Amino acid sequence: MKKLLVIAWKEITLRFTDPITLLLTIAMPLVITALIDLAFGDFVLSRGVQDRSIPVGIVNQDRGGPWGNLGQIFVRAMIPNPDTSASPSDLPFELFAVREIEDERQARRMVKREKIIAALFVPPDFSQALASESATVEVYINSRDAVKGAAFKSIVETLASMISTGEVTVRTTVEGLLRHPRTRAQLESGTLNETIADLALTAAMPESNPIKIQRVNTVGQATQIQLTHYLAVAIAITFTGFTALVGSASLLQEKAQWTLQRMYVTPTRSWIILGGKTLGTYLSGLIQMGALIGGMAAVEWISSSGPGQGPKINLLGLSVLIFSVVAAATGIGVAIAGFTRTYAQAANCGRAVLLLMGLAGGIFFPVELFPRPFDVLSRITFHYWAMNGYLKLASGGSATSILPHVLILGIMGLLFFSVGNWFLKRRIGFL
Amino acid sequence: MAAIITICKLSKQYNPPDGPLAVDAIALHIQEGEIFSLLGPNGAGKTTLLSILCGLFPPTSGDAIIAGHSVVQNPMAVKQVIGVVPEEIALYLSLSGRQNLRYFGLLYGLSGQGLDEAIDDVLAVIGLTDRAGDKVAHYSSGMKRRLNIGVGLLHKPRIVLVDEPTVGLDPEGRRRILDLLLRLKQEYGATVVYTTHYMEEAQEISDRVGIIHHGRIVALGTPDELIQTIHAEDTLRLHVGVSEVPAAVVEALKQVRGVKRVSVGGDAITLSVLHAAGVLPEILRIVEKSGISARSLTVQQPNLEAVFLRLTGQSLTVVSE
Repeated sequence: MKKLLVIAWKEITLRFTDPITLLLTIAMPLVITALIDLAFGDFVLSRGVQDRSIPVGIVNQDRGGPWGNLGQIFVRAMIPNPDTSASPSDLPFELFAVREIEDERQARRMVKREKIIAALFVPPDFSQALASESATVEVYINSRDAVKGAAFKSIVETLASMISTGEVTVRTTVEGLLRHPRTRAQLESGTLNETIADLALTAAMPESNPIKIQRVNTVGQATQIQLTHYLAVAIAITFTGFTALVGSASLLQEKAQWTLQRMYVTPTRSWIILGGKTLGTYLSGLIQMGALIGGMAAVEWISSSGPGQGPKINLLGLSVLIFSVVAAATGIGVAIAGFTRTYAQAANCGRAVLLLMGLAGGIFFPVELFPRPFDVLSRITFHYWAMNGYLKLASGGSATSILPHVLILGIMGLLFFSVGNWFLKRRIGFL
Repeated sequence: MAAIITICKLSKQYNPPDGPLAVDAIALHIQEGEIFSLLGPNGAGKTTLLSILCGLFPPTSGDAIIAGHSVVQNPMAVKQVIGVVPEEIALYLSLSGRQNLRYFGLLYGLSGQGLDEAIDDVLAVIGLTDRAGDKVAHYSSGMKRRLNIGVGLLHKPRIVLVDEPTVGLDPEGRRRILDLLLRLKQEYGATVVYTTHYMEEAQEISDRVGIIHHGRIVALGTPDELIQTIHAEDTLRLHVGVSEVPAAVVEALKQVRGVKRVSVGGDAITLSVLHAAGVLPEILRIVEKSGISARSLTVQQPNLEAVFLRLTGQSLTVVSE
């Protein structure tokens, strides 16, 4: 056991006492993050709005009011009339697959089970409340897709604004119509409700919205992800992947330099040598990841927002996620080293493979931007589970909410390590 | 003296059954406390044999018993008693000399004060005490070679396996390494198994030499014994103070017992003799008696190069290149 730690410590010493390695693994990613923060500090990530089939639901429980069932306007605006190809509003509801749901509890259940990512609830007294003063609708969002949910909520807000200003317009118009005996009779019989609804839809004055949108998340309150945070985490994951790769491939380098053989001819068992090297690589990855995440938080603190302005993240969850991400990265590093012949080959090809995996896994672009098959493909990369786990935590998720991510990353690490280790031992020969 | 290493019909074939046979049924006894050189050109099988002895490869067949332990059955026990010095500079260049020694010392199971003392002792032996704190990357080639040897001596092994330790060194660096190996034997009583393709090194420091060619030991013995086995002649060249050597002198020299041939060219008389030391007084007496003054005398004895040439039909130097 002592020898295992001796070898691991040597790995860490070699990595972090070399100024060039420090520059490449810690300083460079931090500088890149700082530059991104300067350039995109205020950008908010709008992941998912390009997806053309985001499932959402609407539950209209409105019992109606003096001017009819105004809740029905939401339904008409969101769900296109099958008889006409024209959109019922100028709002981009074509991005969503909206379905009307009768039962409120069923709708909430569907959100929780991720059948739909959000649901709009129009309460029974909506029209009555809107006629007197102000009304509230609720947007119920699944936190797993908080970004898409936020996009849905944003469109509901705009629609609510249109309806409310329309309601003011309608009220003024109807008061005028009431003075006219003929239209008064039609209004009283309810035959003018359609006309009133159309008026509401076409009126678009954004001020003084009396409809309040209440947003409710399935798990806590979701936080919008800043582009800087997203990219900072992506950079940390990418560079940690590189470190794990180089660390694992160093077995080949040590073989070429004969230091591996020299270790082997001491009275040290081969599993201790391999274990020590792998532990050293893993600990180096942890140190690097910790330094990068801490450093990036410091960069943000210094550059703009000050402490506490970043995403509120469950620290236990983040720590567990980091442990599992580095484990997966180490496993994949060993696998890549196992499939290559030399250190240079492992380092060069491995970086390309990791970049491709990162691309597929959502390091550079949110995976929702990819077409479906690639979206599914991304799930075989550790980058996807790392990023997804982080986004979940950043959206207010707890440590338990990322347990599947941690498990999958751990299994990935173990699996890739086992395969890579087998190939590496064959490649090296004497271990 | 007891054999500390017994090699029994040891063979190593790479990629069997069609791969090359690097070591071919070698049987050998190496005595405790001797410097044993394996002399042969590159590719002869020296490094493969050494690698098997230190446990890097298993033999295809046969075994070797080192200090009572089988390299096949108990390699861990073998590793406790041997020190290995590879041909490559197997050191971490970004660590200091002391850090390298400490790291490998810990892997040899040393720790605490014992480790500190072992490091200091080795640094003194290899003459690097003053530079111990410097990064190995800043060492000269000779210093790296010495540290490379030092790592193999940390745990005071009874047997040191040294693979081509003087490759790439200048004469001064080579001299220091050879002196170091002699000290290991004389001061520490270590058994040194040493591979080289420099015949003059083997001849100088070895108690016994095994000449290895195509994976087989083709000759074994002390350097003198090996040379005598080929019955080679010494070449004696005498430069005299006259431009023409009298025929009577040439005839007298030919009559000396042990002289095989005499030839004259200019002011030089060249004699082929069986044993130069034995015939030299008589030759000098004849020359002096004839009134010719001798200006210089050179004796070229047969060496291991000649032995290798005689045994294999190839020059060691040419094969090595």
